[in-house]
Amino acid sequence: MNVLEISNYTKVYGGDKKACDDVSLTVESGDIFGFIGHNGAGKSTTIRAVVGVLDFEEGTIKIDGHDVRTEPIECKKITAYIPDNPDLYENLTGLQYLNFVADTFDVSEEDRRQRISDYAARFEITDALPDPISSYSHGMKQKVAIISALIHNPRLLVLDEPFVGLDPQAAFILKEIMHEMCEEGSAVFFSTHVLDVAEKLCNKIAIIKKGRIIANGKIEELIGDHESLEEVFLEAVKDEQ
Amino acid sequence: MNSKSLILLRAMFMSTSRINALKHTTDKKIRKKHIGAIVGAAVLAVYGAVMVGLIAGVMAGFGFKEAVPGMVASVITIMSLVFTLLKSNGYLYGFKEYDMIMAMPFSVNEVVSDRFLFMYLRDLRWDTLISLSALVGYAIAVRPTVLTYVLWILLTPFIPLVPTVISALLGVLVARIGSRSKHRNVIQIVLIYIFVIPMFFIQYIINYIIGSDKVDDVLSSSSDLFAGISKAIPTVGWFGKAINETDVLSAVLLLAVSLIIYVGAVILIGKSYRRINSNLAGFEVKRNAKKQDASGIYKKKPLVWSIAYKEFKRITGSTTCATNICMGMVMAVLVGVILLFVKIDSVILLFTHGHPADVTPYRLIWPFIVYFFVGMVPSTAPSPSLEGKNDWIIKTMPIDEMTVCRGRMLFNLCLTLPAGLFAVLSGCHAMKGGIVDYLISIYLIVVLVLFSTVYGMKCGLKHVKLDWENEVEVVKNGPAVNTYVLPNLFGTMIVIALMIVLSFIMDLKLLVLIVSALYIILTLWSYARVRKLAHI
Repeated sequence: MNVLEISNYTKVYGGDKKACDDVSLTVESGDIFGFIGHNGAGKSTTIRAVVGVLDFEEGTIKIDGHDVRTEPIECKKITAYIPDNPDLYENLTGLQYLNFVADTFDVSEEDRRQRISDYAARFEITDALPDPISSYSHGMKQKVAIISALIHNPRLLVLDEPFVGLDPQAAFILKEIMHEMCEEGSAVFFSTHVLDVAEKLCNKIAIIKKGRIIANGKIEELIGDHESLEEVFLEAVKDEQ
Repeated sequence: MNSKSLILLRAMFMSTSRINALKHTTDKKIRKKHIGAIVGAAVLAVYGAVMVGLIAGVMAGFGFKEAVPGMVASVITIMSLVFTLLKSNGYLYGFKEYDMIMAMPFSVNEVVSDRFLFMYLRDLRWDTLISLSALVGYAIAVRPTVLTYVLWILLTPFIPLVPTVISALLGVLVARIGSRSKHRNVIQIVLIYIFVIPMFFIQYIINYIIGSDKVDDVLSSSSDLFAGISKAIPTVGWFGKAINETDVLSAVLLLAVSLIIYVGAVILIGKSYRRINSNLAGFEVKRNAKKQDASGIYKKKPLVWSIAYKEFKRITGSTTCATNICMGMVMAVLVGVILLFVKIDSVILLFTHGHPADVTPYRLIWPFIVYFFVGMVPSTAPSPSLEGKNDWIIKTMPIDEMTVCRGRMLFNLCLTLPAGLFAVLSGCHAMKGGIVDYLISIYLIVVLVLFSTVYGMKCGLKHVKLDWENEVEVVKNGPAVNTYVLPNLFGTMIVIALMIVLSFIMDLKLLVLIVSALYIILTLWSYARVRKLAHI
């Protein structure tokens, strides 16, 4: 079943600059989908449109069959987003922030208590949660952003460069959580520059360059006779040039 | 000033300049917003210039020409004292790009000097406008000598320098005291109120000091007031003497003392600048803060209350927000408390320079005066812009924008209504109102606060600005706040004046009902606009 379906998505800035051009891809239940590309290739522009932060003019984006433009609330109820730079409400404590998010997703007291304590323990951040977010390091903010994304048990988890700023142990736990989610029928869609991580973690990959998808499919099929994803990526990018 | 400092100063101006943004953006929506803001500022500038020029011309024409330089210097001085204190937290210290700038090859004194100059030069545009407009009015009425023109123009940039330095030093003192405590925000907010609130009453303080109870009309009253300020504040006096008596020594004194105080302040602030900013950044203090009790925090709250709580933490967590948004509430409560303990007749005597007046027939106008304070800046106006880089959080949540707006409006009502009710009831008690007066006053303040909240929300949504570097840009100088403040300020003044005048020919209670009905219509219109802007 398709959890995320992007069809002919086009985003134009300033009337003539195409940031994304006719992007189409599908993420199915159980997929860990890696979205790869250079800086400025259009990864974040696509991701921000998927999660409803960015308006767009052409194409459709559907999450679990709901159109993000016509049914935004339905889409957001089942989606979670972790941005590349976790700007959170600095004046709240970690715990207050997580409860605020839980309130907005209508998570029951029992569920939020259990999920916050479980994930906080896994990320070893329990002791810091009563502190104001303004006192957190980048990595700690990232961990709080991850917990807030998981608090409502999303059907689709969207992450923009999720491993930047995370310590190795936290990165490992995040990968574990991604796998667990997919085993339960959810899907993960994330952008990354780290090709090794994408190769080991993902079952599907799309490569975007200058706003256009230049490769898309199952990782084994994409790698084929090549030695690694890195080789595929460099070759695809070179072919386009 | 060396070239490195100039580069930094230039970068700070460019990063906050609307004209620069307009020059480099191709997005039509953003261009329209910038053009709107520039046109708005230009209209305000023209309006201000005409008003100041007229006042200066009338004063000089009616024989009070010696008071005009004092008026100009007094207005600029008081503006600089108040606004610098409200802005120094955020501009001078506690700013976002602190780490980045301090990591660059600048000395601490260069950074302090540049941040100070940035704050000073931004305000100097308005100070120069006031001064030169007054000069035009003055020149038309008086026909001064060429030397007067030269001295006036040359000395104008130095009038706000000392008050800006003094306010910045007070701001640093506040930051320094606050930065040592885990309750630093509360301490900073309280200290800023202690310093700023007396400045609003400076006119009455000066009158009290100089015992000016012999005045018999507005012009001579103003003239005495500015003479009093000139005596109390040396820089104002020097400017007045330099212009009125073409006294070059006073001009040199103003120049030299301003520069010496400026350099001294930069060195003084530079010595503790790094420590204050480190403490404000908050690691050591906050990490040692008492852990909050987690029990009960998991309790599920209604969504609008959850958003209102988030707003509460946002506004009270920032000294800049709290001092600017809550100033009116604090003043309303203060006036309310004064009226509980001091007889209304004594308060009136202070404000009328010793002339007794019976205000009890106008007690129904009191809620409008209270509204003047509590409706000064509603939190709903800057709130959408304050989301800034956090905007993604609300946008990715499964809640419609109207629910977010309701949460924001709820917070503003929680903030302003108790303060307004307290001040209104206290005033009604002081003016010996009957039960009907109490009920009408409560009704009025509820209507007015609702209007302020909803109209503020409308301005906030219509003129949202997310790409700010410093929250002062949206809380103090933001397009949403400006769009709210000016019409509301003048509107309230006009309503109060009209009600006083019309009360001679019709029943005040009927008048109150008509005016409140107009406010209700405006509130409903604003609410409809909010719904439209929130895509409902």
